[in-house]
Amino acid sequence: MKIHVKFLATIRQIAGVPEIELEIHPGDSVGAALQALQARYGTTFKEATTGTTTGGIPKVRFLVNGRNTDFLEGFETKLEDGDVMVLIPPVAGG
Amino acid sequence: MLGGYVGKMLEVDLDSGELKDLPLDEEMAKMYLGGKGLGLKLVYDEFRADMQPFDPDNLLVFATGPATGEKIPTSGRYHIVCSKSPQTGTVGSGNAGGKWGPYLKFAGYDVVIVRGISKEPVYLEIVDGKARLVPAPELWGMTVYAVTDELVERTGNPKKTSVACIGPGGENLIPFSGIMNDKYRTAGRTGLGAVMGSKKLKAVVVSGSKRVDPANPELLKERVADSMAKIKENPVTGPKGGLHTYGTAILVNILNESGAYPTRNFQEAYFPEADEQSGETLVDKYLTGRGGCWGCPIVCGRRSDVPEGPYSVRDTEGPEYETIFAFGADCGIKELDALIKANHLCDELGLDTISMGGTIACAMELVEKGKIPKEKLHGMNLRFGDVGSMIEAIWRTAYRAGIGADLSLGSRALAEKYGAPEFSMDVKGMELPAYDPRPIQGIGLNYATANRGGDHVYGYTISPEILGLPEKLDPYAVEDKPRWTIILQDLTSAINSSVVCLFSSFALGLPEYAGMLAAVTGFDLDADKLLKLGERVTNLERLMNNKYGLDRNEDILPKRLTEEPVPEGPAKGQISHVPEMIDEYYALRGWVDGKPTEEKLKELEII
Repeated sequence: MKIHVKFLATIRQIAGVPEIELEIHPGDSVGAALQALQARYGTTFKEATTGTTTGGIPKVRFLVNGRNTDFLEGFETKLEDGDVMVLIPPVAGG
Repeated sequence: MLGGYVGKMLEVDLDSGELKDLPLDEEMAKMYLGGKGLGLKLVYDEFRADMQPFDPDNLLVFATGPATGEKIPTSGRYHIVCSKSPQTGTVGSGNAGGKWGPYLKFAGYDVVIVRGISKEPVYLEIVDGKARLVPAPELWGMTVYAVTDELVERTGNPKKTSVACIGPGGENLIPFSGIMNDKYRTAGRTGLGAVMGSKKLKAVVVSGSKRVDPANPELLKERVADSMAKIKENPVTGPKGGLHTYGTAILVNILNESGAYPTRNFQEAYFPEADEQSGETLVDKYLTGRGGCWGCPIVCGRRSDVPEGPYSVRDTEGPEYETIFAFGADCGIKELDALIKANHLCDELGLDTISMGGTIACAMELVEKGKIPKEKLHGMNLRFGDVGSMIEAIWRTAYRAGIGADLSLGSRALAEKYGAPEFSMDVKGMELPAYDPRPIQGIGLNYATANRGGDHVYGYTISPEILGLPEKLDPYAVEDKPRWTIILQDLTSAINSSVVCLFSSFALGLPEYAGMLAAVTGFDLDADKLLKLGERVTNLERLMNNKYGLDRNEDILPKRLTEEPVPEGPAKGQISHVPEMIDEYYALRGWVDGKPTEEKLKELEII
């Protein structure tokens, strides 16, 4: 099955494209999709999407169909065919 | 005098032309710090419940704070307050960066209080502690960029000079005109420009180089170093951080993907073409450089250039996220070059971009629903997505030309005039900013209760609800949102009284602010005391609004947002639950029906 992945800000720069279709397996979670992306885009991408910054802020947050996965099941959030997953690095505005 | 303060205020009486130096009251400074708090207190001391926006007694107060112009990061700001806003009927209030605030202090004053109405256009010049009013009929009618260049040139000291002025919008008493400084920085909201215009005061020019000593320089140095380190290591505020790299426009895609990007006058909350006007696209296509306010390590300002095409504009600044939303998705327009042009035009004319865009969006819906008859438009094709009409509407508004006379009323009066008040997306008469409150519960409560009307930066709950800073709150949840909204509103009142930039709060908190302010002033301040001071400021502002007749009846969102679920997109089905949260908000505030109780006012030492 396929999901739609969108990259924002610096993660878009690293990926080199704003969005892709990603083939995943039925039952795959956000964590599994991230691993697939890290395998596809290499070390810099992996570094930019793993762990937290010096101040303890996560390097990436995920939206699935508009919902922050922190309020779903986190990395365990199950994905379904046609889902939209967005990767957001730490940014802010006002 | 106390550290961090010049100790002097300038009182300008435009009726008589008299200028007078007044001492800054130390007790007042301890209670209200500066900026917004001090400005409100000065207004309150001469409060009149029957005040009118263009009454000569409507005070216009330009106030710096103890942080302004010190080595504290992001302290290039000042606050402007007026007794009565022409836009909202509340106390008026706005905040701006650039360099004007620090330069006022370097020129020798903490505060400028303006009263009265001049017989002819004038500008106020303050150079190295000497102030004078200069007749300036020749400047009346000039746009912001032109008059700024002219006045900077007249001082002969451009590097040490800053100009705050109004454009044609303020001169023509447009109720959402702003006061502009350094060309592109705006105290944009509540119509402060119109109040300045009513006084026939075209500009305030400040120039000087006298620094103000802090109370404890060594301690300040230490605490500034600590805060600066936190700002620099933070991924949002750091040298290559999100704000510096992409500016506030980075929010376009985030809010859109969250289903909270208001579209076509808040009829929808998802704009499929949003990426074409995003921060990422701005960087790729139009960004030529970055610029910051005085003393700012974050440097979030955009320099942009549209070299060709129908919306060509050279070497300008911006646009910010709010402006992109207001003229973009809210008007159904995707073309980013046109939004840069619209922003440039508003800065030149001295108009608030949020209210201007929101009013045009309201007009577009009125046209779409057949409420504004075609003959009123004189050929303008004022419909969602029509770029040329959107841009034309801006200058028409500033000069009240044709349909511009109706647009200049603002969305609330415009929608009422055409018999459809439900199409105005405002709170207390001020157009809503760029976050649909239906899928973000805290920001809706903040909009509804903000003393100056539809205002996102009164208590920026977007920070925890969308950005996860300083901690994560579920945007859909209502639990605990009243408490968070109150904390963020009072924190912002303290920040605006200091005066530093709200964006520093992505990296710093009350302990850092209190520590630096204590070192500057010598005041006995800690995190709790500073938050209490912020609460005092919020309550004083509310008290004056109550005396003007506002109460819980004005603490409401447009019905669309509490009764019509989001129709499509990621947040489909969501609705704002402000009516369910408001009583808890009042109870936590110590208010009854939107009014602080006598006990609360005594506890805060307001009365």
